[in-house]
Amino acid sequence: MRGITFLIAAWFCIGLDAGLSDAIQLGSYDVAPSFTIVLITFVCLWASHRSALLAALLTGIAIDLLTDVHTNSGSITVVLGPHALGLTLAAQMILTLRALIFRKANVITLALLTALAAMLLTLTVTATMSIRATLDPVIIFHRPLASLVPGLLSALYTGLLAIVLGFVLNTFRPLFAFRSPGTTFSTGGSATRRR
Amino acid sequence: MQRRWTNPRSLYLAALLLLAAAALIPTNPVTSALSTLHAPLVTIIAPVSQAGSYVSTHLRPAARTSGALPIVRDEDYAELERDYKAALRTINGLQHAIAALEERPYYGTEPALIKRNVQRISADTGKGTIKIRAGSRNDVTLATIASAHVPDIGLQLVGRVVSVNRLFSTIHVITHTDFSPNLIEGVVIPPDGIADESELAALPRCQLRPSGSTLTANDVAVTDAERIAPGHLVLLADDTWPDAAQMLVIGRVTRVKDTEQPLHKQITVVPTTDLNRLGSFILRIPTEESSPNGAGG
Repeated sequence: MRGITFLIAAWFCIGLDAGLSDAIQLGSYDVAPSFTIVLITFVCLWASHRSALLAALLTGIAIDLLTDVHTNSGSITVVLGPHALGLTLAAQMILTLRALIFRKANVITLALLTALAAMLLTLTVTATMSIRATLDPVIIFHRPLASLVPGLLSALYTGLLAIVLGFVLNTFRPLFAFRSPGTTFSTGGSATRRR
Repeated sequence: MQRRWTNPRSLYLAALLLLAAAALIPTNPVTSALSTLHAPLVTIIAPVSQAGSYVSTHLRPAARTSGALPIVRDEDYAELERDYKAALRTINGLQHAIAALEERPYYGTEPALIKRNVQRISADTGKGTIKIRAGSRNDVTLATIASAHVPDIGLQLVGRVVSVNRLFSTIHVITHTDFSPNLIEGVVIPPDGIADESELAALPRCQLRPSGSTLTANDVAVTDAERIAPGHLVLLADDTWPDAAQMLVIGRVTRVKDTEQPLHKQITVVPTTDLNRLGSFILRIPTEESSPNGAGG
């Protein structure tokens, strides 16, 4: 995978998540899709294991460092780990599933895997933050269910976004210069054997 | 042995363990070191996120809130129409009162302030935080208060600055459940306003607790609650807040409700605009001559 292409795409997606999410969220509920998870799922479908895991890890760290966490003193801090851990686990799940189940990587595949990845990410982040808040009373995270439900709904919404974004990402796929040995994928019907 | 540790699977497991440790261990050095990257990362994504915010605030601008609409039966129409007309008169009176108050300060003297108009970089509605393009180089401090101008109402309190970097700052929105301080004292202004500062002490007060998109006071004395009605404006009058925030509009009373305790009532206050969808803000930055108090200072 061409690193610079991924970095630009990640920069764009993380920026859109930060700036555009409230415009496309459902009503006044905290249910909004994530462009970044679609990108990571796309990369995991096409890139080599090592590239995919590294991309997920670095993106997760970036999201962790950009996510505000409230403290008892009224200030904010960052917690490194929840998103990085969640995205890396999600990436590993997609890498496993792509070899076992799916023979055709089309936008529907992308949408389903994106929703699954986003759900796994939500579960991981909620679990991690709940444990952290128990161990570290400075961190405020006292309503796991209140973040889990919107998170799971957001995961489904992200799956829908993947249908639209999938076409865009497929168009730009040559720019990523993916080389995934031994994996068979196709887009729009024509199979491509990669060696 | 060396080969085993450079195996991708081993590296993957090691990375997972390291991340789990970083996520769970309080105040660990890894997090402390990497958290310094927060500001540069926000700056790096700012061009895209601010463009996104610009589109976002135009696609779904902050609408003025009017409270929840009740289910109406046919036989209630006449009564509701009467209430509606009374409410219109109340609103009209309040608007005049606010206009008068803005022209003639009645609550002490206006504190020494620097006022700045700033734009949003990004917003996280789940966390109740908004990043703005103004930082310490623009004189923003932790005593800074964020407000927004709402036509016919005045200055709506949005939140307080909880983090300042050189180029940007973070606002925590007052309605967010994790907002600190968790109790905000407000004074309920009657529809016809007040003549002078001495009347302020006699007005009903309430301790509001953020509850998502609204603020709720659960223990308003019945004697005070009788003087409060839907439509009344609530202004901040809390000594734990900086002077820059005093008398800013917290919101409008939308409901006065009985509680299980016969001597107390519950009131619900909704900000006069959707705070999470605002695109620009007026920062009220105390100068050295003013005295930032308590939580904000």
